[in-house]
Amino acid sequence: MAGIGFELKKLFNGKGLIQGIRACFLSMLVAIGPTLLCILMMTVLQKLLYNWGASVLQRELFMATVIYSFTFSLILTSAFTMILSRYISDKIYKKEYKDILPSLKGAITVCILIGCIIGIAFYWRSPLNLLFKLAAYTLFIELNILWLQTLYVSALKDYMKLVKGFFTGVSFVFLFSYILVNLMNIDAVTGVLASIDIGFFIIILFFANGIQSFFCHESRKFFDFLEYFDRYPSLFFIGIFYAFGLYVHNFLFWASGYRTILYDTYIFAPFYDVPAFWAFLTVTPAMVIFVVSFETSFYEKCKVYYNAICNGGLIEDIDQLQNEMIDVVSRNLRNIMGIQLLFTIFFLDIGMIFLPLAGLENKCIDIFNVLVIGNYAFIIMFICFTVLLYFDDRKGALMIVCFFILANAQLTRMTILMGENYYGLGFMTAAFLSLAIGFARLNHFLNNIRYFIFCSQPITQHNSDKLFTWISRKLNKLLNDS
Amino acid sequence: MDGGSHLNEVQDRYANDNDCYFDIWYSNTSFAYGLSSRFTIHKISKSFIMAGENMKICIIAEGSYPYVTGGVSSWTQMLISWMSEYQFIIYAIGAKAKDRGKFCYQMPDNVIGLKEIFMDEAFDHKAKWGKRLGMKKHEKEALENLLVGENPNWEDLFSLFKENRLHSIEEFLTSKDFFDILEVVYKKKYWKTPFADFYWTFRSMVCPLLFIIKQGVPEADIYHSVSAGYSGILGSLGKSIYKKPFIMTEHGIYTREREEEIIKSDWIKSCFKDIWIEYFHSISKCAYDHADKVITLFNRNKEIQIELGCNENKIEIIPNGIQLDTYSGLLHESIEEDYINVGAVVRVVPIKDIKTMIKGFSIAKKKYEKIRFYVMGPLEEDMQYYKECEQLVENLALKDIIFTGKVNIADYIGKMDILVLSSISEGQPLAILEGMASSKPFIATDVGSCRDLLYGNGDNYGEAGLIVPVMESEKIGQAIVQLCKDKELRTSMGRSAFKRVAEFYSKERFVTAYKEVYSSYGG
Repeated sequence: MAGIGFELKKLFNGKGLIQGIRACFLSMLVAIGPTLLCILMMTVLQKLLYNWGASVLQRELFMATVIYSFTFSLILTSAFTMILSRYISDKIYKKEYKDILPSLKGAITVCILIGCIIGIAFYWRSPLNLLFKLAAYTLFIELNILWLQTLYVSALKDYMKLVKGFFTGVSFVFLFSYILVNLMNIDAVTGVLASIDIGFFIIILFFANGIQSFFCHESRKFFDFLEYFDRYPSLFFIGIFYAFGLYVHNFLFWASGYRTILYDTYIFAPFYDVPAFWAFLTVTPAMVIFVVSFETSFYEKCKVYYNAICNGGLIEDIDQLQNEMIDVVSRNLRNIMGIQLLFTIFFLDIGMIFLPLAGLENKCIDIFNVLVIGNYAFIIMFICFTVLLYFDDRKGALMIVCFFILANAQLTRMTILMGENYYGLGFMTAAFLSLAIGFARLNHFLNNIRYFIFCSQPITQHNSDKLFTWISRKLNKLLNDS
Repeated sequence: MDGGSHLNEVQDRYANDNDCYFDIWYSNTSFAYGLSSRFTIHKISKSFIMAGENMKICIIAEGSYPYVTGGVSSWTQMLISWMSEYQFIIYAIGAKAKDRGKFCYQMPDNVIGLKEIFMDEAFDHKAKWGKRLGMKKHEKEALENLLVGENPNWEDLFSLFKENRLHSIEEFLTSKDFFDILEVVYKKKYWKTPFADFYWTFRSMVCPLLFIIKQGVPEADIYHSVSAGYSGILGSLGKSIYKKPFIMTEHGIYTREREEEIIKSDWIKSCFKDIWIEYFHSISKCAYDHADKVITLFNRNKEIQIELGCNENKIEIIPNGIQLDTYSGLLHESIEEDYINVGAVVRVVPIKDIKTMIKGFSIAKKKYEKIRFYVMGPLEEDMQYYKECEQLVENLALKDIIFTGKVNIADYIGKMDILVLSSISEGQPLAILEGMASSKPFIATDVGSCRDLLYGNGDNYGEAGLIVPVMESEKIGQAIVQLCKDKELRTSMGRSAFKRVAEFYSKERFVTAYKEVYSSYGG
């Protein structure tokens, strides 16, 4: 889904420093999406809570709630994201635009249903007060919706509207925080959390409005996308393994001796989690370049290439286009690797200076350094993996992701046993090994690309009539009868 | 992931084409195929103790016996039942698996085994793609040669597929080895055609062939295929594996029949028509080269076979045979003295050109009032065509025409005064032999060996009927009128007919000829 990249690319064509900075800022905002803005918002909110006299424990509770909501909503929606983006791009390709919006509604319904069960089960036994639990639960559900919406948002052209929505939402967070905490004297943490709920709800409305007006025609095939679980089960696993792989090293530390348990609800290992969080942010430049430059130029070459294959190209033409496309991939990959390397070194230096100021111990800064390097490999691997998915090499992508999650889990467990000096090395080694596999697969694929493209097509179409297809038919029927 | 969407679309398109490719394999009467992974030899009867007891003859039929009625099928049934001292194994290639076990014929007692394979099952398996099979260089070369239309080394192809080296055909077709071969072939010969079309055309094209080879053949003492094409391939395979003689009887010329269908078809892109024709040519060539003896029914076919590359010395002509006493006893029992009965023993299908015949009747009826017409044969095969025929009868206001449907021919044929056949294409029609055996004058179109049958090929028996051009109702009408008016001529033609049939087309002659063939190969 390179749609948004094209729009962003146009921004960079404008001359002048201000224009450039604006473009950079917007790209970052869109490319790494809500995450960055949320971090800024959270930093400010933390400061406010401090000013409003919330205790350290309360502030930790607040952070924990937000991070849990983010993490687990991302993992839950990752079960759908790959499937849905395939569904959307198929529908766009077949020009069946009216089926797109219903799939969002269907996906939100399914996701909320599962989210309800998980959320209620999680907070049921928690000793926190009910109002707070309700606010936390609402945030979790809202984030699920938001992640699903962002998939569809990338098809929209009018992203400025969305940026405005985001800013409006965030301003409402601050406004309501002030109203609830200062004027209505509600407990500071609960009040701030409730205002985040309100702010995000406004963002969701903005997104919903944008999506609704873009895909104005609507069929009633709400649950058709479920059939894709039968058709491309590997996409489900790719999505969910990828999300799990990202966090599995954190989870393992939560299970280790370093964990902290907050209010019998949240388990944590701040010793590891905080450096891991900052380290992940250091790959933002690669993300932005990928979305704005790599994906767009690659997508165009890719499209021309597939067009030649499908529409009667001779092998000479196909060869020519193939070489051009492979050239774009390798050139861009080299570029991104170079630029991100500079940034990584830069962040390593910056980290040494600023992280102590943010209150991190030396041990944590060591972990940060190791993880920054690990994330470097991780992001390049992610790019290889995304390119493979562009070519519909699900087998390769699944292989890489599976390897990554297993290696990350196993090596992290080993480093926990080996002691503090080795923390972070598990993730780093796993990332580098997976990167090697990613490179090997990409290389192998590109060397035999015609074979892969042609022979992965089945000789006959088999209509899968399995579980999810059945469910989707039933649900659609139910809805359309009533 | 957009690439995936593109390709799916294209694949859908070609999946539909597969159906079309499929159609060409069994489009007319004499065509079809399949799979059965299990080799089923049912014991049909306790073996008979007879002279040729130890001779097992494997009859290979494609898209005909025992699933469809028609010339080749009746011939096969006769051959088996008349050669009762031999034991037969039937190897039937059918079009669709749903036909399994649905036979149009009662299996004679000397059939001791049956293997059925069905072509629609060739495409029925999910492939695990991405295999590298390590094919040997000469095996690759053999396949390359087949695909560029040069004569391949069939032994290499057979050995590649007959052993269990390849798990499945699908796996082979999606393997890197096969893809590499296709690229070589493309660069050698087809570099001006769109690659994707080339790829899917060739993959669909070789699939049935490889599938057939993969099915293997049961062990027998003689392999006898009743057509070229895929049954010819199986015969060649039998010869190659078991080193046993292979005989082929070709009724219609397989290559020519496919060629006509391909040229007429509108779904094959014109740039691929030559490829398809060449491919079927190669397949027939395989059978011509492997066969120890190629048998055909009449001289014109022999000439075509030679033209197609068959060694002249291998070819022998054995015409159809007919049991004379079944028909000779039915002489002259006209129903009403002053009415002339004109009959056509024929399935109501387009290739028999019933419409021209009806127009001919109508023309005759205007000039000679007292004629009745009988069209005797099944109507169900193409109901649409039958309806059109009925409509035509109505439009022409033609009276005294009766479509009897499927009947016992012997009950009717004796009552006829004149018989007609208006086919567009024929081999050596049994209908004419039956008519001749019952001493009836015949009017037939100038196709297949009809001219030889009615006018003789250098014998002195005289004319047994009238030959008219294809699709000319006027001429048919005139011929009917001519015969109606001249009772003398009818009688003398009937006499000639019987004499010729008795001399050249008798059951005895047929049986003796085939026995000689079989015994010369060890029977």
